[in-house]
Amino acid sequence: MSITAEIEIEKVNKNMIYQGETLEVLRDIDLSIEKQEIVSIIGPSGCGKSTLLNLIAGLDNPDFGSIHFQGFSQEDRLGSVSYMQQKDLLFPWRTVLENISLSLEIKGISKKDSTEICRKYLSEFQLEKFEKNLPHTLSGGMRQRVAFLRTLLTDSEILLLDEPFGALDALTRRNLYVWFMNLLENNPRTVILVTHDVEEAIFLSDRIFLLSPRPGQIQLIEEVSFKRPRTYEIISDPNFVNLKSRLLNQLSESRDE
Amino acid sequence: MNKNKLIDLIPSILIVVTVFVLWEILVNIQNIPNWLLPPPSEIFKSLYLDFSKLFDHTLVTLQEILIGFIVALIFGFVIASAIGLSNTVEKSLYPFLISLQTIPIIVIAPMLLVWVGYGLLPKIIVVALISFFPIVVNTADGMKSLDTDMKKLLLTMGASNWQIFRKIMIPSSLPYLFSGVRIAVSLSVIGAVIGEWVGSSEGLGYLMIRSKPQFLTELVFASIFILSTIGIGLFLLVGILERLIIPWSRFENSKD
Repeated sequence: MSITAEIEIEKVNKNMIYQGETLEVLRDIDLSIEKQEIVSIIGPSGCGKSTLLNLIAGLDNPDFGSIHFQGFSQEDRLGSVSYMQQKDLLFPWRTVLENISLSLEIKGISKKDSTEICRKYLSEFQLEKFEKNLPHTLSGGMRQRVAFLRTLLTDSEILLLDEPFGALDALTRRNLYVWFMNLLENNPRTVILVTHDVEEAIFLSDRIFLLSPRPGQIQLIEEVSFKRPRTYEIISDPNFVNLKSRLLNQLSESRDE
Repeated sequence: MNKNKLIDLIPSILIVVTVFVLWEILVNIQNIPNWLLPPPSEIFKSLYLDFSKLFDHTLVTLQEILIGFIVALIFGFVIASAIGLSNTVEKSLYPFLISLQTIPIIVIAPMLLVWVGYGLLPKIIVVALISFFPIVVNTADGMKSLDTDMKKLLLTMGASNWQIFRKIMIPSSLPYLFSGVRIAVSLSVIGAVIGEWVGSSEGLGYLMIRSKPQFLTELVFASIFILSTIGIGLFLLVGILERLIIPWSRFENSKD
């Protein structure tokens, strides 16, 4: 067992009860993720991607196996990783500033200090103009940027992202990939990204794990060798194209089974 | 924006004016005596001539309405919070709340006189009882319908149950609270009148019940006119408060 890994997931199994039947959702998941690594988990819908994130976040516990972070016991997971879901979940009654300061507020940091910290981040990512806006006045892309900042401000080493780009149109999405890369460049974190978009996974991550249909098992692990930060031109690079078609083939094969 | 709102008001003003004009004409043509049905002109005359009397009684009724309503609001919110926080409380309190609502207030009101005596208190209790139910049911619904993903988000930030209550449950229940309050304000006017009918020496309800046998029908109608005005005024006030306190809610609802 390596001790250098930031996240160590061993032999994790999870069953769920759905309409009176027990379903095996995850089987023998082994993942070892390095510090500041960005990994993607892709797989057909219903393969247990989101269940896996819930387990890692500590919202639920595995039936077998263990999940360890460096410096935390398995029981203390909840509250020590930050979790972003597909919906931006901005609180409609809070301004942009109040939304991103949510986790600081939960931790009991004084309003003055948290405002100062949040302003720093807002101006770093050119959102300071929107500080006092309520979420309903922002576009989808803007809302998601605010949600990213809120996630980052939880100040945990580990970010879990559940299809954070899923609800956006293609163009906004591309802009946001680059913005997100830049965000991580300046504020490095260990990231687990769940997505069903192969291109997104390759563009953003260092390693990609492909899950099989239910029960989800790790079927394929691919390294992405492009250096970070990346520009959008790499999507026409032959290596990118090869990797993409390999992953897509595997995905469609597993769907046909 | 403001100009549009004024234009929006025109149809309802037209309807009111038309009704008043037809009423005036019909009463005159049919030669209906004032004690049976006074024409609007007589009602307005009475509003003018008996202004100081009406004004004093209005203050009494208004006081009963406002105090009773605030009592209902406080109790309603506290009980709705308890229901929102605990399923056990919900299951044990709901039957009680519903049975409370089915007790005819008109029967309870005279009993209150016996229990708590004459004066302001029984009226406040009647107003509170009648306006409590829509507030508690709506607010509890709002607390129960919280977004579970928002709750998940706060849990992963390490929030306590109390923080979840304060930061999600209370704000997301406010739009529901306001729709309950809007129903409750109009009921509270009725509550005050019922409270005065069963025993009082002042207030618009008392004035109505005293004026009717004296055939001062225009005074009865003048009281009704004032009561409706209070009802409309409170309703509008709630709307204004809602826009000030939860400006975000209109946009959230239209989004889904």
